[in-house]
Amino acid sequence: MRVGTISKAIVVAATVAWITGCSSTGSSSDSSETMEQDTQQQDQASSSGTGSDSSMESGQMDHDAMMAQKAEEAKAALAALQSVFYFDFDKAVVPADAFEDLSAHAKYLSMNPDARLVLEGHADERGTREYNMALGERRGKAVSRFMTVQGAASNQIEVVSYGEERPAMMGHEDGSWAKNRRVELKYSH
Amino acid sequence: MLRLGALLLFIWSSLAQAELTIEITQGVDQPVPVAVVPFGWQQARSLPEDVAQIISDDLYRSGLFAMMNRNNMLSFPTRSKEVYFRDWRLADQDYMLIGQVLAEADGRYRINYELYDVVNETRLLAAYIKGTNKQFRRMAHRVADAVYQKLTGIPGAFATEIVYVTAQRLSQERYNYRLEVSDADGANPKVILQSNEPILSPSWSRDGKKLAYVSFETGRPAIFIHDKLTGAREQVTRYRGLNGAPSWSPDGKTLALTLSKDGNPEIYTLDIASRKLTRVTRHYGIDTEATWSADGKSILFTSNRGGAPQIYQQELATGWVERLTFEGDYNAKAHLTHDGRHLVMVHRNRGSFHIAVQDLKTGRLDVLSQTSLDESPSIAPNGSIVIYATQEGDKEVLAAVSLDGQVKFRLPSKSGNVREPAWSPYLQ
Amino acid sequence: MSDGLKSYILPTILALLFHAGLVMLTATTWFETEGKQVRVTPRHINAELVDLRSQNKAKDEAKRKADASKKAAAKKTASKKAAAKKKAEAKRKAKQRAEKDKQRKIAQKKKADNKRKADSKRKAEAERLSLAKKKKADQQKAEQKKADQKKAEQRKQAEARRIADQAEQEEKLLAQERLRQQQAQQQAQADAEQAWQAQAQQLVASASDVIRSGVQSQWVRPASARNGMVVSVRIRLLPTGEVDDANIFKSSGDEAFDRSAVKAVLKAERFPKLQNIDPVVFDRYLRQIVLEFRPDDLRY
Repeated sequence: MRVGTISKAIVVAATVAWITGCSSTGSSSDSSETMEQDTQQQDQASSSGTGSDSSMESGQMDHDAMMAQKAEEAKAALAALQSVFYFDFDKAVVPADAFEDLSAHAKYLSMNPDARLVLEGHADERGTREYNMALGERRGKAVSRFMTVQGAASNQIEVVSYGEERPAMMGHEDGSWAKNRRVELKYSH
Repeated sequence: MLRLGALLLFIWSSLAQAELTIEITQGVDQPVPVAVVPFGWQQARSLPEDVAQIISDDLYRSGLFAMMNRNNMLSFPTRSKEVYFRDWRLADQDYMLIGQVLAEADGRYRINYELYDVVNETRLLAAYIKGTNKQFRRMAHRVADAVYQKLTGIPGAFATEIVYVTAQRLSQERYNYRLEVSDADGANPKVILQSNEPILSPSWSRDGKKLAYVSFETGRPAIFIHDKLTGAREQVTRYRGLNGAPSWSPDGKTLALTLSKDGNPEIYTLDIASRKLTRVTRHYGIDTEATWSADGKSILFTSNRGGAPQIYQQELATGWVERLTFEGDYNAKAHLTHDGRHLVMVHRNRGSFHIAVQDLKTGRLDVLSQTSLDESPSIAPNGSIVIYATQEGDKEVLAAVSLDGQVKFRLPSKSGNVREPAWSPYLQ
Repeated sequence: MSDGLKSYILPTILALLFHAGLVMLTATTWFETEGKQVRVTPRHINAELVDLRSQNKAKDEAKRKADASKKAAAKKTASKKAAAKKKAEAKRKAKQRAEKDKQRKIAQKKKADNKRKADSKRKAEAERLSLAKKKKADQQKAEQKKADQKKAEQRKQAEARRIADQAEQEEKLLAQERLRQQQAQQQAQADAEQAWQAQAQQLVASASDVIRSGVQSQWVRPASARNGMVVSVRIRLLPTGEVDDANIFKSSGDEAFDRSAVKAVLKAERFPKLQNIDPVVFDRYLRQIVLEFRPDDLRY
């Protein structure tokens, strides 16, 4: 248990380091990227124990029942997770507060190889449509990269950008725009 | 002796040039008054369209002309011998257009028209145009084109079309998207495609016969080509990731487009006949919104490789890349005017998005629009007007501004949101 | 080795100095020529033109008059010189005649002497002395007479010369006075002309302003107009200030642009303020003028 936690922490740290490395080769020269790093590790380390470890205990159950129960529990856990993650303007950096839930989603995918996830990337209405389409995809890909490092298989995840075409909020002010710069996770079972 | 001769020559020449010369360097920018007199029609049954009104509306919408109200006309001449210049001059008109519609033996119609300079008392134009019952609007636009060219020195672009996308939100998750083509004045809208999934980035082939656009109808973005004449359409790309921003090459054989199949959004060219794909850009930043230079030898595109979106130009043969825009921290979706001199684009100025034009010769940038959230600029084939999408209250509408920023107007509003206008080339 | 190096030092320094000098020389020449090439283009060429022409005209007028007076003076001195010459000629001729007479007289006297000599040969020797005495006396007398004659002549000549000089002096003074008067008159005329020119220039300048603003307020440029296009329109004006006619004098090549210029003039129609202008000024400068349409306030 203790060893597991430590190894998880190492994996998360490696993920963050890798993503940061990727992002820094990207266009955004946002200093917040590196600033976020430490807090993420702490968050991940503290939260990783509460994930889906309960399934490990039930060794006595018969296989089918076990699988069914596992699936039920996983789904229930999934439903409790956040499935929409928000981004800064003209940025495609996975935000700090998304790490915990995205790790859990990744874990679910790794435990359910048949599960398929579509990451819908979105942008706010400001700027041009095709540029926003690219921006939406960048956001989706940033999330996808995070999750594959966390254990999801890349063929389980597809990124589809909708750019600014499908706003969550219809307003034309900062509050609405913040809600529209997002990546939505949609499972196709 | 020689000096005396030179002196005499000097005196002679100064006497010969005795005329006083006055320099006029400034003028006024006000609409030129023009009277379009109702066209004559001898038969009892009424015509399907008021030709003179369509012409008058066209000219008015250019912003360059002030049209005379019919109610103020003392007479409705339809032939030259019925024109009394003094009457029209007293009504402060500079020009007048008269004409008549005649039914031809073959069932078609003939429109005769004559344009007069009221001040100079001369006839500038006398011509006719023929067409069917259904072509009255198009014929009227053609007459307006001829008048516009005579009066402004620039070809008219009234007999052209505009393609655009409308979007209606039916419920939280349900939308209705339509790709429509209408006359340049918004009349005769025709639906090309209807879908519950997004449609965007329509682009005209340079001969005006085909349209390329992006549709999400398959659940993913894909590029389609629509043949206007036959109505046939085909999907030309289905790559993983982005399939966007199609743009026709000047020769109509190649599409430039954006794909992210290799990881990042990059510009590619697609040979339409052979479907051969060639990668153009190679950069980890976003490269998109390609448009062609007039000679087809290079591609202009939006890239954030410098940190923020700016316009770059890349030579296809050599791969040489040059950044074109430097003013402001957001310049995107560029179009070149047909003479290649001006770059029209979306430009962020103090946090708001406007349409701007940059003179590539002098480097000077002018912001043309003062509306909000302006995007998708498209230049009329005569280079006089830029049409673009903007926000009006909670509605997306189309607006237009002349390239010199002098004339601004809104296009008639339709139901739902109207966006992504693209002006057709001259049509045959 | 060091010797070889040393031998290079002096040539090197010399070469450097030479090159530096050359550079400075060429640099100054370049800068100078560049400085000379700076040309200031006057904004209102028209006004300059008017000034220049009228000034030239005034200058020409003055020059012509000055030339005439100079010529007259020259003529006068020439005729004076001719008179003096004539006088000298006459004097010379008179002298010649006197000389001839004298010679004739001497010859005659010689003849008489010879005769007397022959007589005396024939007569007695006794008479010789008295004769010789007489001859001597005669000779003395003749010589005395000749000297007297010469003196008188000299006196006469001096007197004549004095009179001539006096006359000449008087004439000169008179001519000077006349010239002074003439010059004063010319100056007055030139002053008047200049004053008129200045006034005319002022009138023309204000008329130009009236015409310019009248036309500019009517000039609607077509969409094809660009800064730098030029069209010249020649217009004929009536003394009432009305536009009688307007024609393209030099086309811009753009039909719509050309037409807009003619239309601006025709729509300006008349410039009522021109009515009050001196008819001579109007006739000379404003009856027919050229308007140069050259937009500089367009965006492109």
